[in-house]
Amino acid sequence: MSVFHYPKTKHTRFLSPRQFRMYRSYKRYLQTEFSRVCVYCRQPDSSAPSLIYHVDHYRPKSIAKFSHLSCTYSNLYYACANCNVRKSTDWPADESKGPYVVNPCDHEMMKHLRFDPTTGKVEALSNFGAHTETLLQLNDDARVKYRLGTLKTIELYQREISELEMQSKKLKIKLRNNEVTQAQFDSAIQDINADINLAKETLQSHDGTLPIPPIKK
Amino acid sequence: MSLYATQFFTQPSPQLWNGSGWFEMKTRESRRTPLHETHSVTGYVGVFDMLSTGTESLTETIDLESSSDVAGAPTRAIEESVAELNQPSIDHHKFETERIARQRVTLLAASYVGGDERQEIVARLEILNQRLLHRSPCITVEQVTALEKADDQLSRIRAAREERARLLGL
Repeated sequence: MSVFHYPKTKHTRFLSPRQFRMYRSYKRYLQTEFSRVCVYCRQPDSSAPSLIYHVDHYRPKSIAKFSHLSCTYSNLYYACANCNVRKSTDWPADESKGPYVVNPCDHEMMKHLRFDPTTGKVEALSNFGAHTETLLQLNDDARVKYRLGTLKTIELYQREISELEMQSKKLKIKLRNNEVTQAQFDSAIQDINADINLAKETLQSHDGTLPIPPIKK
Repeated sequence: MSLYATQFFTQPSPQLWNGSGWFEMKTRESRRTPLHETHSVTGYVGVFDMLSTGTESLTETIDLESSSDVAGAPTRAIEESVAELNQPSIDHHKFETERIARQRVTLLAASYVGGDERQEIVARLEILNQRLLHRSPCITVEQVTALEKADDQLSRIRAAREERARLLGL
């Protein structure tokens, strides 16, 4: 799935961590569970160093009737600090009507929110989607510009990686035809591979596919 | 200065009733100690490192020649003091942001109900939106910096590739 796009289907949790007393202990599980992106704005946590991500209580822990869910894994989500702060104590007065902030486990998010890569904006497709977009300020100017910048960077990196791979192939042909020496080939191929690895790592950190370190037990 | 204050400071010895008797207030001039009656501070406490911040003996001074501290770097005590001073402001900032966010949630819920006050609610909501964006921007400086660094890195990789192609005829 491309960066910033909302999932089509509901997410079924595949991790079942043991019961912790501190909800923050679930953070590493939530990072893996939700593929290191904020469940609300789809921003990868790897896109910048020292980005702050929180454990979000979908049913707010500050509402008395939900206080017992403070450390219940199914009530916890992986959210960036900005979305978590904005979501705050949001919970509908009338639970039968909503509006709810959409989440990947209870809602098919793509039915409510759609990311448009041409504008960088998030389009609301339902009342719940509109509520989520307004509350979390998903179409704030800075966010929109940043998304467009990220998409452009990703596109340029993908193109550069293709160019480097092409150069590597051309170099191998040159060696086969004795048009370059072995020493020239070794030096150049080492540089190309180093640049490919560097470019791939940067690309992965921005598109959210950077591998997550395994959870220590 | 008020009339009372003027009188208070100009009268040489104003008298006040303190509940049990009259006592004489000393004027500013009379409270000043003549210069010849003061003591030399250095003469009284002896010579010691006035800038020492540790708990060591006052007579022990730091040998600047052998000190590994970087010139201009704050001492540990100053760093701790600054951290202590900053802590309440960070907490206050966090508290204020959370307060605004809670108000937004309440107002947004109220805006769905509608009624006569809807326009006012929307206007207040807009103010809170701006306040929240000011206090907690959606995009951090680190994110923008990371994107800029990625672009710089890409330029370097591209330049190296083009140079390689030129040198090896690729």
